[in-house]
Amino acid sequence: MNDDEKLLNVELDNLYKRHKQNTQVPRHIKRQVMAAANRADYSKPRSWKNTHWLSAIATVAVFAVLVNMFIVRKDMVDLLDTAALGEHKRDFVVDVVHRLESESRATVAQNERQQQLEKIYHDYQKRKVVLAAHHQQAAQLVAVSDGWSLKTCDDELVQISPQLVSLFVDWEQIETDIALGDQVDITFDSQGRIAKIRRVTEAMQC
Amino acid sequence: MGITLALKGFFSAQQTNEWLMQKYVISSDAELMAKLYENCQKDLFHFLLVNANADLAAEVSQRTWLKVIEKKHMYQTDGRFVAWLFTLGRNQLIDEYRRDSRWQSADFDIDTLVAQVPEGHGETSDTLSKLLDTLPFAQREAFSLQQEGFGLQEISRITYAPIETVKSRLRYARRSLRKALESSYE
Repeated sequence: MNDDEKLLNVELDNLYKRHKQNTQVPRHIKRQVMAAANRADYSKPRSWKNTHWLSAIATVAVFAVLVNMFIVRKDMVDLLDTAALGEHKRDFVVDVVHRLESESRATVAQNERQQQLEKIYHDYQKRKVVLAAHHQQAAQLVAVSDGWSLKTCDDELVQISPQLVSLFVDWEQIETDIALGDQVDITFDSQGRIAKIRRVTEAMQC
Repeated sequence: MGITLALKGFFSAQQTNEWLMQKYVISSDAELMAKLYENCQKDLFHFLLVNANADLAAEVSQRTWLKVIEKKHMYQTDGRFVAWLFTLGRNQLIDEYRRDSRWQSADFDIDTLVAQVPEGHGETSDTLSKLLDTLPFAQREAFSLQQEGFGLQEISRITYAPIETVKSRLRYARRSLRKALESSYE
């Protein structure tokens, strides 16, 4: 390559540089490119597509489903109880819970049931002296889930804890053949504690 | 003061186009894309403008950047970012030519693709544009890629042509351009 050719090459290079310097990139390209880049940017919040919104909506939806399941389950239990009783409606005005002092639901473990029953038995034995029959009340067994629920003629709901039911069964103070919907007589002692539950065959006299 | 400058130098040295692109692949951070665009927009657009008319260059340039966003996971770290960008841009341009009805009927041969392409060059009919109009597409793109700072190896990769072919295209391009330049002085 001779000197003239070299000079021409330099001139060509300079022409190219000048041409490039004078070139303006259309601005609309940047707008379009950055709009696409912003759409693809996960870190930027974007109206309804915002992932935080989606998380919040998903959480609310799950919570709603759980609440719904709880309500449905409760309704189903009530419905089954009603069906078993052959009644459409249960109206109870007072709830009375019968539970031994030594009982604590939180501490009851399934594998310690026997030991606990023995403890409860001794606990109750101490009070045996006052277990003389004082008065009786007619009632109906309306639920057996989580202990017994007995509806009295005074629209009183007498609830007996599962532990106390177990004790009465072991102590033979509850007849074993009592079924849901059966009429029973509840015998109370002078201090209002349940002493015995006996099934009655005749219709309830309220 | 010295430490500050050293740290500043270290961080600015880290922010090469390759570093920005690697970060963008991971994060999709629009700010990184903005920096990449600022760094390379003119190089790509000018390369396309030399090889096509202004409208087509703008369209292909925009589409190329959108491809960078869309296909960021395809970016490989073994080469310069700008080489990958130009490969995408060049592919887009060739696709446009193939779609053009003028090129659908005949076999598409890049070496026969000549001066019909830059129709819009009349708008900016400077000396370089007039000179480049005399070159076939393959020689023009080889020449412009060399002017944009690419080596033979990179031009070979971008144009999918053997290095020897690239060399001969460059040789012919320069010879033709020198002749055209000489005659423009007479």
